[in-house]
Amino acid sequence: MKTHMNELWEDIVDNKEVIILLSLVWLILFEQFTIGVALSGVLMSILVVIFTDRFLLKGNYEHSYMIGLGTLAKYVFRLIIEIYLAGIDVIPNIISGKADVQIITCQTKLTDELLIDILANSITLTPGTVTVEKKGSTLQVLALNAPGVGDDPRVVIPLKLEDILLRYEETLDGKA
Amino acid sequence: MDFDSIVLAIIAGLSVFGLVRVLDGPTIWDRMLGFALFSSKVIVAAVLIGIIINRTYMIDVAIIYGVLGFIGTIMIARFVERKGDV
Amino acid sequence: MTQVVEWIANLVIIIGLIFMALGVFGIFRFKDYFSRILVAAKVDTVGFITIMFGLMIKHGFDFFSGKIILVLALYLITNPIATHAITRSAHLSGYRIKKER
Repeated sequence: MKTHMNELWEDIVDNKEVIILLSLVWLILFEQFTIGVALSGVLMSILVVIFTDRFLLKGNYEHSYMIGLGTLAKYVFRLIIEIYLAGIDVIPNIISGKADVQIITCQTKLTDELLIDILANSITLTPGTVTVEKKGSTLQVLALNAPGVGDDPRVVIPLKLEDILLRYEETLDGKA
Repeated sequence: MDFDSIVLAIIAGLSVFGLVRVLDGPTIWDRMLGFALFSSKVIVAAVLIGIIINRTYMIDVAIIYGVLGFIGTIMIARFVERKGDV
Repeated sequence: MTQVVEWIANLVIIIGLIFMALGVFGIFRFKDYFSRILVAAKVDTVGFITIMFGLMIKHGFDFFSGKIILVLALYLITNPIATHAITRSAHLSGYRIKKER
């Protein structure tokens, strides 16, 4: 009994960021801020996380879906700036009607599966590039205004976003 | 006629063009692209109606429409990719 | 003061409408499917984000804006997955462009 309680407490401490996010969503959906609603939200989030960890996943929850709150906020801020820069970049192509579309194969330095998925989604979200296929850490990117034959094909990846993810991956390796 | 109603009318006019792309797209993927464009316009329109009539429940309608459009697009793309075997 | 905030919000919404109209214009401009999905659908995303920001500025800081943030987060997560699915389906079904490297 004692060991069960200890395991439960370790699960809660390991997943505290996910629990905070889920409680915020619960509060926003209820549209009122009282003690009862907040308590029931925290309880429900803990139940959801523990149920998913025990019965629905094969691995450990905190190894599959872990992202720090500070990294998340910085990443979203940077992503919106990149989207606007690329969006303004694309406008002359629309007005002149010229397009030079190519499929480019390029490598990323990341190794974690979840982080590669996040990077591929960000590449799709910025205007002018769409990820077609991913195998390991090799991405096939469909690009407008593609670089020439002699140039580095890694121009199509938004490098600043990759930097943030690389820095996060180092701290992840140190912890595990 | 205030500003929000005019914005709503413009959004409705733009969504008609998305439906035109659905009707006469040369390939089936053009039709799916037009449907994705149309569904994003519908989400914006639902939030605008919620602001005009000053009720919060229209945003729940927008969330539900977003989820259903996403599932529909994924399922049709998978159906075409596997040539009829979902 | 509230008048000034409302003018700024209206300006942001008008910028978003211009982006969205450019997206709809681009979908009729190009002849090829791949260039269409590159230009049209993505500029439309920029317009969506801008209009949502304008509505949040207009409404102030309350639960309504929180729900708009929920809609925005849901759209930012699901939209690239849908685009992947469509483009991958076209690529695997044999739709090709001229050159590839």
